[in-house]
Amino acid sequence: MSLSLRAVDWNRQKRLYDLSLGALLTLTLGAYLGVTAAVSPESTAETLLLRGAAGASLVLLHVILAIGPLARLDPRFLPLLYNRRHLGVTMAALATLHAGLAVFQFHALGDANPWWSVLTAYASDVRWAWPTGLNLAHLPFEPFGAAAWCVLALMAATSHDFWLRRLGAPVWKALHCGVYLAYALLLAHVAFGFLQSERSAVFPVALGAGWLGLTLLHLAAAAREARLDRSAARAREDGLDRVATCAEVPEGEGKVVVADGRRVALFRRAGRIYALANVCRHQGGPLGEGRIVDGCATCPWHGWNYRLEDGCSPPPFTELVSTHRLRRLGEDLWLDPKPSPPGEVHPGVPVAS
Amino acid sequence: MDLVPAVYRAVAAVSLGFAAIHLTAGVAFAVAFQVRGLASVDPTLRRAGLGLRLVLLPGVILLWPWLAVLWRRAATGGDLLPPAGPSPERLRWLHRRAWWALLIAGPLILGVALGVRRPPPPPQPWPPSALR
Repeated sequence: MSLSLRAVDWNRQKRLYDLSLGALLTLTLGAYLGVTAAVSPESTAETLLLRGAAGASLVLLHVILAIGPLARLDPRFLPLLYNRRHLGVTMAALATLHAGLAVFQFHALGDANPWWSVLTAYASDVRWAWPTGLNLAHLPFEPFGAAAWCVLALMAATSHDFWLRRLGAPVWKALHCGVYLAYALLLAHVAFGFLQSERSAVFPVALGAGWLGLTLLHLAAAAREARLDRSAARAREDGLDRVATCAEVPEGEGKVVVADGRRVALFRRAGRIYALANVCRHQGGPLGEGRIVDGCATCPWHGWNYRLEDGCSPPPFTELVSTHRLRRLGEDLWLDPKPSPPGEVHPGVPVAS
Repeated sequence: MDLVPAVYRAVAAVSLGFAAIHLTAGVAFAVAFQVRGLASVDPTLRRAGLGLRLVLLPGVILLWPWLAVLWRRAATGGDLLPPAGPSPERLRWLHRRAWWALLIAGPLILGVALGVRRPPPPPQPWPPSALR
């Protein structure tokens, strides 16, 4: 949490993250350039760099897309999630390097505007071929790459906390779901471009394996989330849902329950149980998967804190999450799915320690 | 004149034209925004350093229409709260739909692209027969 904004809020963890990223990229690019230069000595330096940057950015995009579901499936991957934005910006920078070299090498220094050439160099090949429909064998692949770059550039340009603060976490996250569109466009760019002339089976197999791996990860994470969503309230009475028993809420940690299709986080501390909205105000992280630190519910993604009684962040911070009315009947916890007005205090229900 | 390439070129022309106008206006707006608007929209950034301003510059150029509205609201004492945006349930729905679309699009794109690949040209003898 931070009141003031800086270009980059450096801390030890971020430095380690970025140093590791830099080292891995240098090794990968260096290995690729070395191997390719040895195997194809006739390749020019700009061609090597162009392909190296393309390959590195594509691999990095797969890593970025894998982090989300991995972190849902196993909390040990959470440290990769903390600074995923750095991966995204790096990936966009590599894509920009690739795009810049490609435009210079194939579209510049001619009599046509290079940007016009990128989009229309092969426009004459876009034909309607009866009876198969559009002549896909000559589909221009550059526009797919250009469109993907636009999406990645927009995401990189809005990756700073200033945009998160101004747009709000929900709009910001919806905007950054554009990464899936970028991925589809890049698949088309590579499939209708590089794979049309590259005859080795390695590349289509690798691309297909990347897609398959990401799909399986996302399906596994989706199945886990669906199981949680299906664990809906066990009974409803007087507008309250029976969501858990007191014994199911561990001391010092959160528990996520679902009431009326809404996820709520339950926390137990010093003999009382509290109910807060499950969504962190920072980036929508799952508050209920966090712990209690210094008396506050702490988001597992970036450590944002909220007081248990009223959902407010401790001063001087002003963020807050809604609280929910909770009632205890015997050992059962009954929850009002409707969130209370912002900042309303609920002292928590007493339970036996 | 073939219709499909002509339509394709027209779409490309409109897209490039729109991009050129948007980016030019964005650069012009960014100059004014960095000087006066940033502090209006976010008073905590009154003394923002050069590093932060540079980091924000690309986003200012791309999102200048929305920032212009925000700046005007700040100038007239209006509400600067971020928009409510989709609910967490709606975001999860969006996520699920995006991945279902990729589940279908991925093999479709790869399958079609590999299916329409032309066979490689036969190896050419060297030197060509005319030079032997």
